[in-house]
Amino acid sequence: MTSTHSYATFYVDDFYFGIPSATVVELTNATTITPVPMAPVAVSGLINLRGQIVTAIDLRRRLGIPPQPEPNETITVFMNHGGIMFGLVIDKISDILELDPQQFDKPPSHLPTAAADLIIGFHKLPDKLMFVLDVDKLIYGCLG
Amino acid sequence: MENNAQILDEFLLEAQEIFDQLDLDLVRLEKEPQDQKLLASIFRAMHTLKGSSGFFAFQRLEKVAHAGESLLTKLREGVLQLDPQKTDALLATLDSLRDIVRGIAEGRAEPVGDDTALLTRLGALTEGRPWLDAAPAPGQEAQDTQAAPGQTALPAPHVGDLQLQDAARHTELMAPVKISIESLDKLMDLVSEMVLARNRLLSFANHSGDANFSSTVRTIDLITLELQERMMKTRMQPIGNLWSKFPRLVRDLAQECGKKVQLIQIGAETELDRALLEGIRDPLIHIIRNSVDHGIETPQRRLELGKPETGSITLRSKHENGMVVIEITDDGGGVNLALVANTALQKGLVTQDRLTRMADREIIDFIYLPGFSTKESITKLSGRGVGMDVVRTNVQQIGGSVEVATSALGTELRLRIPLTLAIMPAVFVQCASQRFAIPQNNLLEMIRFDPTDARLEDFYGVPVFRLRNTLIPLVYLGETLGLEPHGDHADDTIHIVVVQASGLVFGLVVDKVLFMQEVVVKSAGPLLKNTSIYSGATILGDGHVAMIFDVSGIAKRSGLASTLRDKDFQSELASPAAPVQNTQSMLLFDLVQMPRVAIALDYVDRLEMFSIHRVEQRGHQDVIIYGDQIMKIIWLSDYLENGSMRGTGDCDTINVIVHYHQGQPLGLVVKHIHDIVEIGSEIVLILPPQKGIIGSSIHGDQVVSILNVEEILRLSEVEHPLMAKQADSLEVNSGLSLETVFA
Repeated sequence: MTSTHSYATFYVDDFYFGIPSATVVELTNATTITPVPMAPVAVSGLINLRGQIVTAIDLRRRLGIPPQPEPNETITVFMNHGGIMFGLVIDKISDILELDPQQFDKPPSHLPTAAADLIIGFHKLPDKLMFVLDVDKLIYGCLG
Repeated sequence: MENNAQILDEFLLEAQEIFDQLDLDLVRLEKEPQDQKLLASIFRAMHTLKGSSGFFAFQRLEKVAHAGESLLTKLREGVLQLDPQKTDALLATLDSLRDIVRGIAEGRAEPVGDDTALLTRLGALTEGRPWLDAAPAPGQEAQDTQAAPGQTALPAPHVGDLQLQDAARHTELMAPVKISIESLDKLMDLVSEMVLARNRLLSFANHSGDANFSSTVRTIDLITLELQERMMKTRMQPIGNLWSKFPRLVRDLAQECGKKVQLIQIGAETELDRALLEGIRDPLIHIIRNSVDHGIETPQRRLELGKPETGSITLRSKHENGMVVIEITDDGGGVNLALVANTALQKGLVTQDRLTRMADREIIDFIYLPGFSTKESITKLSGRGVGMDVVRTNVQQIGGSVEVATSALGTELRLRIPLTLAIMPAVFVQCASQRFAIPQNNLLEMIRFDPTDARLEDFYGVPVFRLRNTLIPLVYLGETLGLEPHGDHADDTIHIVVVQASGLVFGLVVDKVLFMQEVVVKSAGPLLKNTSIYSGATILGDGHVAMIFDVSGIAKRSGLASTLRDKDFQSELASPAAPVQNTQSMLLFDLVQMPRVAIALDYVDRLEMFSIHRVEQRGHQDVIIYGDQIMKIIWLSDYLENGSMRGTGDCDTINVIVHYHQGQPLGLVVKHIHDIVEIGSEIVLILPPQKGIIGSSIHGDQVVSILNVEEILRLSEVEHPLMAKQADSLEVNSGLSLETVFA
């Protein structure tokens, strides 16, 4: 078990993504996000997480995917990156997966450009691919 | 004196810490004599102690520490090896040092005592000779060194007393606890949260009828307030901590400039938040540099001027209305206003014309412009042109302000700094249904602007409005934030928040002004660092996040800052307008040879057009039957154009501005009526004065003459216009004139 990698997985559009589960602190729905005019495009706003101000990153915008046609509730995954909290706004949460690093592969070449930069690789699952996001790039790449 | 006592206290505390560490380290060293790092650390500690003793001229302390250090040097260099004998000697040294310091703490002076035995012992060991005598017991030595000045007359104290005294002394020295900045910040954060929760609770209590609940909330309110104040106090540091570096700075600078300068410090105990202390360090250093380099004259020059040879710079600080005021005064030559004005002129920052109309205060403001320096030669110290603008920017960044007053007798700079940054009052505004906070220290006033009262004007493409005698450029917040499309707002009632930042005063147009509240400033996170229009974020009572504006960032973002810099605008805005009325709506009309005359709308009751045949004569007065009244006709051309043209041209209709004067209609005949326009309050007087005209003003890019209605009315009552011209044959002339027109 110690040799497996643990991922928190979720969906944005039809893409199935994972981030290291150790970084994930909590997830909520129906959070109020205060939009911030003139902020970087992918920053959808700020969230008050129990007195802490957290930057929310809209993964659709970050990945260059058009907004949901009928947006239901906002799901935010809160994660700690380098001691700072960030919120990732996603479409749908999925499971925590324990995967064998042996099955990890470099990213395929046919991904949309915006997404390709942010993916360090993928795991081939029985029925689908799970893309592993480069969290640091995902966050600080917002600054352009 | 108080300052010295404080420094001594700090020394004593430091010494105490060093002793405690040395105790541990020496014991450890005995076990691990090869640990070079440990040895080095012990050596450094001893060295520090020696240095501080030298500073206070504590000779015993210095000698003993020096002897200890010498032995440690040998050990460190590997010349000698540590053995129990040496360890004992070092520990004895430590005890001896501790006792001397204890004596200092009590008597505020070094106790008298004989350290010869210890010194000989250390000396012998350092030279590699063994020491044969038994080491004196530490207790015995303590007694020896108890001979503090105040105690010599007392009988030798019992051991018990000694211990008691020891305990007392210990608590005295133990009192302060070192806390890491991080935990202090975290505590401050929590208190800030508490303040917010209190605010929420207060709004509950206001709506609840329960007296018990309300009084409990009141108690919590008071406790929170005190908690906040005390917490803030723990972050406070006396400004003297910063100032202590300045005497040396002044000395060095003065020497470099060949000047004699003394530095006087008043109010060094004034406390402010340590973050702010850091923030004013550079501005203060800069100001002091300026004073020494530019302000204070050479000794020779000072003597010529009858000033004392040595110049003084005085630092004075005090609390005032919840702010810290820091004044930096020098008795030098002051800012050379003529030189400043001249430099401004050369750099093309101002026109000669404008300059002649500027007040000294405004001329001083030039020194805040980036890259402005009057210094002819660049010295090592100052004159690089990065000066007062940096000072002002830095001070404004921490929410403060700078004022300068200057004369030939000296210069005074006044910095006003908030006590703390963590909590500040802010006004909340609404724009495109979002809430934003504007820091109160940027706020000048809030105005509801109704376009029916006055109009917005256009100044070099920037919408402006008149606030008393000043033109205030407007920034439409919604547009600047990209929340609303650019559009024409001229007809809406608008809410203007007049703000100032970086020397710029402008109006932020918002949808609504909501409320004023203390906010806890929090970081908006790393991804918004580059979004310069915000200084942070805060959490509102309802739990929502609101952004806090950086007002100077908004000025930049909106393009206002650069527009104003390009134009003469800024000086235009700041110009002391002639003491005249506010913006006025005026009716613009033409006379035959005199286009663009304006009459204040107050005098315009109606506009009429009559056939020239309706004009009748009563005596030598032209009249028109107007309703059931007789309206006196005043041919403005008679007054303004000397009657050469009566201004109907070929038409047989006349345009008349009807004005009711004491209930009677008066008809002012003009050639052509244009429109109602807004005329600025700055009216330029014409020289020599022209009859019937107050002066000129600029509308759009054309000159407009402002009609002096009162003068015309007065003239029309006492005399016929042409009578005044040719007083010799009144009747004939007037008659002639009338006939020529009607012929």
